[in-house]
Amino acid sequence: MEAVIAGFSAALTPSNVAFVALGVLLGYVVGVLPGFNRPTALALAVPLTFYMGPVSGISFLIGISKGSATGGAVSAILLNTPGEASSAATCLDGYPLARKGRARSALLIALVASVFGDIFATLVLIALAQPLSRVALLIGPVEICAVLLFALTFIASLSGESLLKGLISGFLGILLGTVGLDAETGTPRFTFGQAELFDGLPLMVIAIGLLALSEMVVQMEERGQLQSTPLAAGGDRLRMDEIKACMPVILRSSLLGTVLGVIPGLGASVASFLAYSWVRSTSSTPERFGQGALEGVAAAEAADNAVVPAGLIPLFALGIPGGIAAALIIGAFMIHGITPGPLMFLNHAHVLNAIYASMLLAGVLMFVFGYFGSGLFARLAQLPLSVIVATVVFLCIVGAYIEGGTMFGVYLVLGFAVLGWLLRKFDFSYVTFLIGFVLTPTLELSLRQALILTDRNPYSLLRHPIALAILAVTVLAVWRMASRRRDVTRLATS
Amino acid sequence: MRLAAEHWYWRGHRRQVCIALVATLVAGWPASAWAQEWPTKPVNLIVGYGTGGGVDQMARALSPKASEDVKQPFVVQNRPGGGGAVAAISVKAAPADGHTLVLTTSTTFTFDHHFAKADFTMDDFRHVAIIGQFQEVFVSHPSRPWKTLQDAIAEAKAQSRDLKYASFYQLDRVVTALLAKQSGVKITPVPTQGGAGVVNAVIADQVDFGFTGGTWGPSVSSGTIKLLASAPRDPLKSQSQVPTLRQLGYDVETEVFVTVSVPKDTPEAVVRKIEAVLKRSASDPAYAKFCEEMLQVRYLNLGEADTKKALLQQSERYTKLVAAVGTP
Repeated sequence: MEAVIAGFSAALTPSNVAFVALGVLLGYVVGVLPGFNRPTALALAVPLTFYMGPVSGISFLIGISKGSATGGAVSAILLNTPGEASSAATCLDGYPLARKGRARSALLIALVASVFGDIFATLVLIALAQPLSRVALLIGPVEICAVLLFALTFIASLSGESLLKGLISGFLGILLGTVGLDAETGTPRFTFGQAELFDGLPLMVIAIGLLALSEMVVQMEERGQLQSTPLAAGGDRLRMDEIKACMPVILRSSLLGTVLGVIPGLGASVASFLAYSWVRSTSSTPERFGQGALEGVAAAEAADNAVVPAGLIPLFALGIPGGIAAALIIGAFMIHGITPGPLMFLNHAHVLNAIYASMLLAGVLMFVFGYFGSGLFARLAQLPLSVIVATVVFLCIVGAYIEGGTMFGVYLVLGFAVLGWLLRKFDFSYVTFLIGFVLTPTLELSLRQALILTDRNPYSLLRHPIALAILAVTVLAVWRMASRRRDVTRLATS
Repeated sequence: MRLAAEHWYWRGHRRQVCIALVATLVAGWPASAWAQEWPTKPVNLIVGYGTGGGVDQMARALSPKASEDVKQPFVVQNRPGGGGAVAAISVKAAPADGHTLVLTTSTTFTFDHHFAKADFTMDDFRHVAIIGQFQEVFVSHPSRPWKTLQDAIAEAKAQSRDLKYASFYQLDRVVTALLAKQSGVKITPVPTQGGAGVVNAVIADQVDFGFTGGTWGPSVSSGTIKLLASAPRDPLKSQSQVPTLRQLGYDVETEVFVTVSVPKDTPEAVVRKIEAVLKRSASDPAYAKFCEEMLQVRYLNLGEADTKKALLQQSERYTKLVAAVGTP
């Protein structure tokens, strides 16, 4: 308790509060703008932290990470353009809400879920970093592979009307997820000699094309009827009972985001899509999803934001860099002569406590900025649709150019806009497509790692009880879904 | 550490600017009468790797120096993909006027084409500078009873089992293929996602050992992983007691430089100026310190002639190495 108070007193100095606020604000703006992503913002910010104290420096960087995770929802909801790749899942219900005139409600529920997910995971980090990081070490490629196989079964439950169509677009996503150099042999696959494709298709560009740009094409087809979004009857207010109804979803998704965040290498995109799929497939009214369900937004955002602090658990406790953002934060620690890892808890406990306090402060500041931001941004939804379409098309092209690095990104985004338009026209699910695409690279890598590590011997799975349990659940889930579907068809035919 | 950083970013550059002015007056003046002026606009420094990695951090450390030197901004732009290939292709196509440089690893030009052919060769560029060399290492979990990589291989041989290791990319697979050939032990690479993936797998003790050229420093100094061997010819700068592969008796080494190159038709006078600017910028002791202490990158500062020679030799060596083990 004393440590906590000491941490807060170190964190609540005016200069530290200012740096945390600056970080969150910067991250929020970066998150809102498609084309500027978190790693870039962090890389640019790291040199600035050289001149700050360790607490301010690290908190500044963490503030950017947190702020960008929150900000990503804004453009996802208002423009169907994910500001960060991980907010692509937020588009699925956020944008339909905005079209219904409930932009502000969608932004607010996203904010509530973000802040809750963030603070939840931060508290888990503070309380359980060391024991949880040891659990994370038990999760190897075999277990990750099992989790992702289980996740693939969501494709079936998210297919909507036609299972066949859902599977077709899911497999199309999987197929496109295999583009790039083979992880094991370095052999180019479906790259057509284009070096831009060696590292695979960029998720961000695909999400922009598939979700935002194709939607704009659909809007433009209804020429002559372009009009601004109507205000919801009686104005758009997020009611208390709606927040209450979303709370179980937010809690579940925060938990899922925290668990997935602790495992190095899974990332926020996988987590937000899984949370969305989980909530949608277990809902008693799954047909509302995709049409503007507040729960859908809440699930994606809570998980997305929980990943950020949870990802710091292996970093703080063991010095494991989960990804490029974590590697940059390690660098910032090193500048100040602190090495992340078990010893940090002994030798630099006071710094760590102050960082924890700053992280909680960042959560609160996220809410403040987000609250005012959403009031401001929600008005954008009332702009004439002709203005919105033009702006979004512009943002899509610029974002794709920056993300893709070259004109190649622009060609890709146009190509995927066409694909997205076709999927919509012929009623194929782009949700299952995205899930297939998001999961495949990690699934393939972990599968091939698992095959090597187990010597391709199925009996060695016995040494991986966690993986076995998840695989059993997977089989059960498939069986249940199949039998449920049989029932549905039987009912339909009788 | 922190002082070093402040030093590097804040320090005045009066001396360099004076030298630059004198150098311009003495050498540049008569030349500029017939050569193109350079730079007449901001210089694009196209980095072949993503933001935040070692290559990117070196580019970002160098660009403020260079900007100040030429009074035009050096703008760092990341164009990651294909191990630097995407950046190289875009710079190959850029106007050869010295306003677009590519900063990437030497393997982009000397090694990668053995696996994935891209639309450029080493000869499409003039390689103006080498500004550092990565120091690749073999690491393992501290609980493993080995002191060096040789111990690991000897144990595997005695127990007649395979070794599995977390692999960084194709280069280490060729190296370990040769180690396997020379020692008679099967060494299987487990592919991972970048240098962080290697360190993760080693800390979690999922593999026998790992190979990484990335930032292994923090994990080594915190004791969560230990060094078994270093792969380049020269011993590590900071930990010279760690044996190199050659010291352990294996006839192989890795060599990955960080290079700056321009399209091959860039005018001679402009190339000379770029070379001089880079040389001066990288001469700052704070840059050297940043490379060696923060990134575990060996500090080097070579001009065009040395760079060209080094890359040609490297290309030849890698071709021989790949021929010796064959591509998978």
